[in-house]
Amino acid sequence: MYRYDEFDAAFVRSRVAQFRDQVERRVKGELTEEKFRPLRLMNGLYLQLHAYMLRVAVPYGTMNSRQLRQLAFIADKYDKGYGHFTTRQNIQFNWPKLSDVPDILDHLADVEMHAIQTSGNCIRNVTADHWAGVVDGEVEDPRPVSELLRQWSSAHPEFTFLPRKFKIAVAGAEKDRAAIAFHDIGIKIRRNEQGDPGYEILVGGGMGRTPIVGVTVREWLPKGEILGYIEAIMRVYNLHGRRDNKYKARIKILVLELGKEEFTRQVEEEYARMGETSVQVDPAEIERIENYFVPPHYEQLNDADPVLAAAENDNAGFAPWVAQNVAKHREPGYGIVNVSLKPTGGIPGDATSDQMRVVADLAENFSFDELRVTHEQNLVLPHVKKSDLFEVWKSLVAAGLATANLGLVSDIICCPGLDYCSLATARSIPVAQDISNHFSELERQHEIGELKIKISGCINACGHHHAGHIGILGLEKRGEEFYQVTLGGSGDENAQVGEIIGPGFSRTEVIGAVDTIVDTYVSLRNENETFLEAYRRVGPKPFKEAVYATH
Amino acid sequence: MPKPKNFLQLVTANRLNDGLVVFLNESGDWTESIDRAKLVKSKEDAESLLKERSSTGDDAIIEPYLIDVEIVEGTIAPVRYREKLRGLGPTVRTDLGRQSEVARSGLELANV
Amino acid sequence: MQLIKNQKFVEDGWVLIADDAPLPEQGKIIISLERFNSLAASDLSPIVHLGVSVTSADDVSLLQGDFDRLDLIRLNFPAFTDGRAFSQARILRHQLKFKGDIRISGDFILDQVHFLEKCGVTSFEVVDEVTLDDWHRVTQSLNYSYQPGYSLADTRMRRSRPAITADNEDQELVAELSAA
Repeated sequence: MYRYDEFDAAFVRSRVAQFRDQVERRVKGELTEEKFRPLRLMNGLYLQLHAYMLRVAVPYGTMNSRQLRQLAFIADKYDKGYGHFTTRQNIQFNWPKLSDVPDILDHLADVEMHAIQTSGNCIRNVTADHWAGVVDGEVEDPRPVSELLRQWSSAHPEFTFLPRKFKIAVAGAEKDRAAIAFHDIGIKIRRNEQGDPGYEILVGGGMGRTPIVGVTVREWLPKGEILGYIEAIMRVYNLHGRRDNKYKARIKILVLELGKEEFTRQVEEEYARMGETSVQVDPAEIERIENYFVPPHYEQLNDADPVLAAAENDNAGFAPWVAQNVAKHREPGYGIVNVSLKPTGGIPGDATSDQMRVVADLAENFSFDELRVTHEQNLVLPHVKKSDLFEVWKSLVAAGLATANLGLVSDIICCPGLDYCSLATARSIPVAQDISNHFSELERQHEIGELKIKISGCINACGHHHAGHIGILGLEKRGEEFYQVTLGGSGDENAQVGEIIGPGFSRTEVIGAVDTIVDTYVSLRNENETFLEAYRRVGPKPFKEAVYATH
Repeated sequence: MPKPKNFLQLVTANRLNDGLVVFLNESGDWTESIDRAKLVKSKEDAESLLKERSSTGDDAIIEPYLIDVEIVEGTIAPVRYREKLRGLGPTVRTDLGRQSEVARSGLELANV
Repeated sequence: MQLIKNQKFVEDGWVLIADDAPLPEQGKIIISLERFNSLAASDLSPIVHLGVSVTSADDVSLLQGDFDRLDLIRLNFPAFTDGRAFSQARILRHQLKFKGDIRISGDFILDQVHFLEKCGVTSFEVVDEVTLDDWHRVTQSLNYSYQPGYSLADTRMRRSRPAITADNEDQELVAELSAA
């Protein structure tokens, strides 16, 4: 994985010192809250419902054991012993003190981490496929270009006071695990007709109150042109994105109002006008970054492992976990271990400092010192030898991290909701917990099969409910929590916004509605048909009839 | 949003340094306990109280605003569930936030 | 209002002329873009030094044909969160190679100054009370940059990632502006 050179390290330290000065000026009263707010937000510091919240970037979701241990240390020393992994591959601490934040940032800098641009109207943490570099069918690892974008977008002199926040995601394979079509810019690495790798550029996707699937503005862009082309998009947005209405300020609205053709024309015109001022990336710099992402030194192994087979036979809980949570690695004899942060009845995405240390140890001992954070709020040990899986599983079981539910009905994406978030209109975590408890029998979950439930506690859709096979949106109605259900959403390469099935449900009714939807699917599905496939075949009608007949 | 029967409001904010929820009390200080908050019975009084607090340049708190409250069994309780939750702490982590401190201190929780 | 240029307080020799005020025959005057566009070349005294004040909504690239007439272009922040002036400065300085003074007015904050300089801004209308010490401390607090295509509007040392190639002409422009 990427390692800071002297320049990167000095940049981050300099940014910490700058923020320390900003905090001091705020405390002395030299900066008003109004003027300090955007500065603290640009270092990931929010004011939430009960306290401050610090969001730390995990660039494109990749970390090493030392970094995760440092997060555990910060959780213990400056917070309340836990952290929350988010849908943007970040981690949030919920109780830091303002005056401690500069010190926390220094501790992060010690392990080559930061909280730069994890909030504010700037280019946010670049996210990528969490199985990058290990999964079959990849054109190229999406992380080198993500790192290039991370550097280029850091403290960008021109694009730090945009009309609104700006999110970029990169996928390296046809199969999209980064939800690129729901980002301001989605980058898909693909080959042109000559077989050369380059980038397809999507613009204007997003969730929020106006969910939109992004449109392709360039089918194929040569690799060396990426920064210049992105700069052109950013400039058109910075100059013409709406600033009169916060809810219409995202680039998706500009694309929508101009139309894809006109927007694309403006970008291409700007790109042409930039000419020589366009940033061309030196191939040597790309090579320098790519060298950090070369695969580790795998052993030459047979894919079938006798140790694994024996352990699967002897341990009832182990085989289902291997089947569900260990994905196929491109290297024979290795597996991609997915560590579920969705225990039955738990808080999706939360991990205690002890759990972080367990995963850090496992990454160090069994996964070439590397781990990933997924936008589905789980962790990944990307390269574990099959012969080590049993050892890894035992440690995960002991830490409460071995729930065999990856991609199943209890593997729920869920924003913090009104339990933490000051923008939320309803709680989301208790709904996730109810569903998780309701389907606590793993056997039933396996029978149901792949089903992605995503829950947001307000219209901002941090819980990605628009992209949920079943989406749940918490609102406030007549002083009560109230939940709207959508069906058929998808955040993959066939991205789709879910459709609202009808009137919403009270907090106590929502679990029954989900149960009925699941039962309806099970009763009408064809053999091997997933929930999403079945929904796309039959449409909302049978689900609506079943849900509103019983409620 | 439910409308309370009688107009009754107080000023809440978050403390600058630790971000914790505080309430403006009778003596003009910020307290973590809603029980000691200064109550106002008219829109005019509420607005002038908020304005007064916002214009004193007291930077020890941030983002002050007014909330509707009612008296339930002799104690002050917010009307909206958002504010109830805000006063308590996360409902999914009752070991954290104001609710845990109150529980530890053996005090009765206000009707939040 | 005070004017800061090249990290120093300087005398502002420019006068902002209201739209309904008569045009002086000489001196350094700044007029609105609207008025500028409504004037014929003959309406302006040939010896007057001219600056034009634009809003954040104006398309600055339309000024390119007038560069030889303009010594100054004044940009504006209607609110410090409105970052259009960054792109306007970038276009004027780097794309269109405007050689005159690019001045910032309005509601910008100290923490934006180093970004503005990198986008090509050379002078700042400062309304808030500020000491030169504060100005130096805050505006020089981030000395590293990943965007070398953006020039440094003064001669202070700031490192850029060397491997991403910059536009060399920019470096010449910087030297020229610093000497001026």
